[in-house]
Amino acid sequence: MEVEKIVQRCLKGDEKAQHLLYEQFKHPLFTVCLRYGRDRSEAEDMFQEGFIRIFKDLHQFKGNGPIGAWMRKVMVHSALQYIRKWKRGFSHLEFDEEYMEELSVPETAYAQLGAKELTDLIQRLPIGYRTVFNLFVIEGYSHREISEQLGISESTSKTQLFKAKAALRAALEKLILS
Amino acid sequence: MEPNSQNDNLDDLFRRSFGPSENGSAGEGWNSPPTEMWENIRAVIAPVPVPFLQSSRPWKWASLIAALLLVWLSVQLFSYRSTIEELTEQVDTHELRMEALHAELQTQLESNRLSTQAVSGKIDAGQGEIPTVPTPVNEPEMAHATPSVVRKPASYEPVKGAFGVDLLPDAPVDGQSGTSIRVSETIASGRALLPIENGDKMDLVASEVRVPTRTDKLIAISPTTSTRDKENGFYLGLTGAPIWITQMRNGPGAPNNSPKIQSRNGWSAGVKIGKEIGNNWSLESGIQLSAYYTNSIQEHKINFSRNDETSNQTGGYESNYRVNLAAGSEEIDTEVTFTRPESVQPEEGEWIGLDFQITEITNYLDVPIVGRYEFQSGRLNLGFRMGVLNRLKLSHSFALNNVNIGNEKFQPSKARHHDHPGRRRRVSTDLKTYSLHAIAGLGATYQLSDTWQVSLEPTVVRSITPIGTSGPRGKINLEQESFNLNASLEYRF
Repeated sequence: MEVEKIVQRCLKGDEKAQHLLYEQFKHPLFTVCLRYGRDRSEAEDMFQEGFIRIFKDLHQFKGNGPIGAWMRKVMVHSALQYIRKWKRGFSHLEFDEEYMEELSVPETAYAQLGAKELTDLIQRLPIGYRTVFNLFVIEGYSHREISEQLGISESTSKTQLFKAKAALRAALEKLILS
Repeated sequence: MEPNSQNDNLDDLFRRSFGPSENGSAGEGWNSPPTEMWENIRAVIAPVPVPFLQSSRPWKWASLIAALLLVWLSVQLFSYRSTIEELTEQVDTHELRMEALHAELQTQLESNRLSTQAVSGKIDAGQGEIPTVPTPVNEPEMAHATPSVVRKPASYEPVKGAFGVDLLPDAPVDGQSGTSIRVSETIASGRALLPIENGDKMDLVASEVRVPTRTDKLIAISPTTSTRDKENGFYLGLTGAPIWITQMRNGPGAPNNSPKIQSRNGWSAGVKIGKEIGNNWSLESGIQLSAYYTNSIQEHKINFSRNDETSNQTGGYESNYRVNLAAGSEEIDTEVTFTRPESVQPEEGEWIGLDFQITEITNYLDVPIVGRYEFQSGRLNLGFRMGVLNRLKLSHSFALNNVNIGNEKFQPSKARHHDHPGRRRRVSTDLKTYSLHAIAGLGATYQLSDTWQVSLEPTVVRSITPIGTSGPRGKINLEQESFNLNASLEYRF
């Protein structure tokens, strides 16, 4: 069944269609949550809240783009809401010196890494690094948008991104070399 | 590789793996949500059939019940007014009869007075003086002491200040019969030689002259017969009670395998209306507001683990633990955060005590329907009551106020209430809007007057249907039992 028809039936409260939509998008959207959460448990919470939000706001989807992109956007917003709700403010974001070693990793080595390994690396980042990195690198937000979303300054966002990348490079090297 | 180039490679690596193409990524196990997740989501988004009694806000039902009670009250008042009119007619009739009797009595008295004067004229030549004989007061049996034919006594010895107390098994007090104590005070009494007409002669005969100036005070002791209408009367009342409550969790996963979870206290206040239906039974209902309070400390213990720690800004370490709390009517997940300085090194697995301070307030609107039986028909009546209590939840608040860390190596920062809104919907406590309770208790009423009475009724109230359910590990039924000490002031029609 086409996604558009599934969406139409979902809007009419068709439970089977809702299940179909869930099944079709559960893996990519759960991956999003795994990237934003500290661990799998937190990701599950984000995922459940996000999917509930998707079904409740489905009538707001105007069909301007792919439903998957819209669902992903809702899921990211829901994850940010979760983080804002349960985590401390982003004005004092964690920073760990041990991630800051300069690295030199062969470019070809990166290709060996899969999404699971990369997700694990992201999850190990402190919450501030993780959130800013996800929003900037993967979702494509600008620093201005990130600062508005998280209530931090643009310079903090830039600093967090720089440190996140440094930490990831360090972690990547350790992973590859091991 | 240059840093900029490295950055580009890093960005590309992650964008390739997680960018928009991520939408089409397949499940590989690691990125599959738990199998029960859909059921959790479906439970929240599926339209739930709303039970009849929960289909609206409680105040609507309260309004409906209040309206029905008002209608019932109006009918009773109308019926009462009809009865009053009938009684008024009867009183009018009696008044006419009383006037006729009074006139007849006056005629007889006048006749007696003339007769007495005639006889007195014959004995004016006698000795001594006739004592003044006041009218008896509250002393029916003394009426005979006033002779219809009065003679002048030959001698008279007054006695003053006599005092006595006796028990009257059946004396009328305030229109009611029953056992009373009579306190009598005699002002004067004496002995006299009375001239008695004996044919043509006048003989002097010693006789007790009790001058009926005594005053009696009757003190009724219970029971005395009530004059109120026991078959058709009805009453309105104000009622209030302190309440002691025990709440139990029954079902799998009850904390510490203990069904009893919480004691708390509260109060109730309201109005009631009742109707006597005969054979010493009354049927009563009303509306009461009840408030239940809990201030408790829930003790938890966790094992310290370095894996749960993260370094913080101040060079110390911060621990985050999720704890499931079952307190009062709630079951919540909370996250507690505390810190330790780097210099303190706790052992792995060391016990850490967490004392959570919890406040819960629940307000209910109660509509009892109770049968009340009184064993005696007197001023003081003992009895019992039984019935059901319809309970509507008006509001419910729950607050996790503070947490104390019972291990001095750690410094509590702030316990954050972390209730996982999405997840809690399937496991959270669902305090029902409506619950049915059974009422049973004893009662004592004391009739202050024909219209006013007070009552004291120690009563046990217990939930018949669970007041709610909760539990992430399965359904736990919340049941409630309370002891209410109801005190009422009632006005009877």
